[in-house]
Amino acid sequence: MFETLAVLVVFFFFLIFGASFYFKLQENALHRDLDKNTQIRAVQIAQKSVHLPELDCSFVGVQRENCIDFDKITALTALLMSSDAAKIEYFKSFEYSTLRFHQVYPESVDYTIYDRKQGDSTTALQLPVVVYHAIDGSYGFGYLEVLVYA
Amino acid sequence: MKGQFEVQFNWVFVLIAGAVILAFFFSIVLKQRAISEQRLELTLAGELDAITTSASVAKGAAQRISLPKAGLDFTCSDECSCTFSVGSVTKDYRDKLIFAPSHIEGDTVVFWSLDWQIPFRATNLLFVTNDRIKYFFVHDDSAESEQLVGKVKALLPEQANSAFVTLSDVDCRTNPNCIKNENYIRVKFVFLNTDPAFGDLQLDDSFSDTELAAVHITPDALTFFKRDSKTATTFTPASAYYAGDATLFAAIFSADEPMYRCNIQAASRRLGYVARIIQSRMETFRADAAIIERGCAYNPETIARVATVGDEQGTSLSSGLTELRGLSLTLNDENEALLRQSCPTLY
Repeated sequence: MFETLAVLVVFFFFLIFGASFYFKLQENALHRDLDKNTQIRAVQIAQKSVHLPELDCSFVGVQRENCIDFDKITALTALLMSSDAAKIEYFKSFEYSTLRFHQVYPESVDYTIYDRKQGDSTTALQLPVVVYHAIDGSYGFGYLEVLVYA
Repeated sequence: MKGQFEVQFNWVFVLIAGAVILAFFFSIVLKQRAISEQRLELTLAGELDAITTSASVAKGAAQRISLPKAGLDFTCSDECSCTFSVGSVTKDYRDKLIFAPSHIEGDTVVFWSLDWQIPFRATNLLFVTNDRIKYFFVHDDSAESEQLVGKVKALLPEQANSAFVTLSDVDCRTNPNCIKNENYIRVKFVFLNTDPAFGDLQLDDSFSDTELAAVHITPDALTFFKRDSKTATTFTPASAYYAGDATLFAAIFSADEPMYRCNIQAASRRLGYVARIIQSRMETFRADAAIIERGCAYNPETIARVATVGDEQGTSLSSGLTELRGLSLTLNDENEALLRQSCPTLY
């Protein structure tokens, strides 16, 4: 009788040890999946931002790749600052993220186009872009920074 | 006697303990299986979300992608809650504008995106189809019908199964060699300025157990026809409007009227915002001394009207959507005039 109980105790000890080890592994896998999803979301948001008609450079309906129109940046920033309806509409695209624009050449200019924070954990992505200034037809150089909150 | 009782008790104890342990492991295996299946569906739904995002930013591209075994379901409620599902996992469309059949299954799926140009790009629309769906374009000799045929032939990707037929090819009452369903799960009849005449039309029996839908397109409006049941011969009509080639294809690829209406309303809202951004950009040009000196003339009325129509149609889709056709032509002329004057263009 005692031997049987001893075997059962040892068995359940191994079972609990094994289960806790397994659940720890599952938890790690879950965190990895969460990180992966946040990174995918960051890429998606970045991909969407550079192709948005609200920001892109178009010449008689033809879009230039990786090009952002400076006047559209200022217009979209103003729109998102002034209209709650627009904030709600663009939340569908940008979710909980911050979209910043930095021009580095010819002069340094920064704009926070969209900003909706949640939590502390972020994944950042930077995309180099050509900046088109329609008034004088000149080009600058800058980058779009996407911060996605998990 | 005591020893004999102890041996018997041991056996009963071992049997009960063994049964409990087996049941425990069995329940864990079942739970793990359910979790794994759900996890796989979640992964597939997430990947599909990423694929549709990439597909919708690639303008004018058609791409074939492997389809999960469970297939995909697309639905839009009357209140415009649009979702797609892989098995039991459902995801919201969010900012995507997807026009698809209600259920799609098979080995692959084709995603095709087209930009909605009014005349500037307002947004991209994403169309979904595959090998097991067929589109019959029914046309006649009228100039309007031929014009619509020309538009469809010019833009429809080769990955979409299509056939161009006349009404007599469809009607089995008058034509014994009428078209038959070649084992397609879903068939859509697109009547290009040709009256569907569903009351008189007699389709071949091979269509009797097929998911069948139809849309009647005229130069001014659309009518969606939904089969009353899978084997019914009666259809319920629902009217809608379109403006531009992309919305024409949206009607062709939509499962039903709510899917079309909800997505076009969302596209119109986006059009309103894009138009406001162009308008704001135009105001910057109008205030610039160098541009004034160059004699560049900007008319803010047309783009402001586009923004207003976009806002209105974003709330409720109506015949007002067709106003965009005229506004689009006017804006195009204004933009070309600016181009000729070497002035910054609107788009």
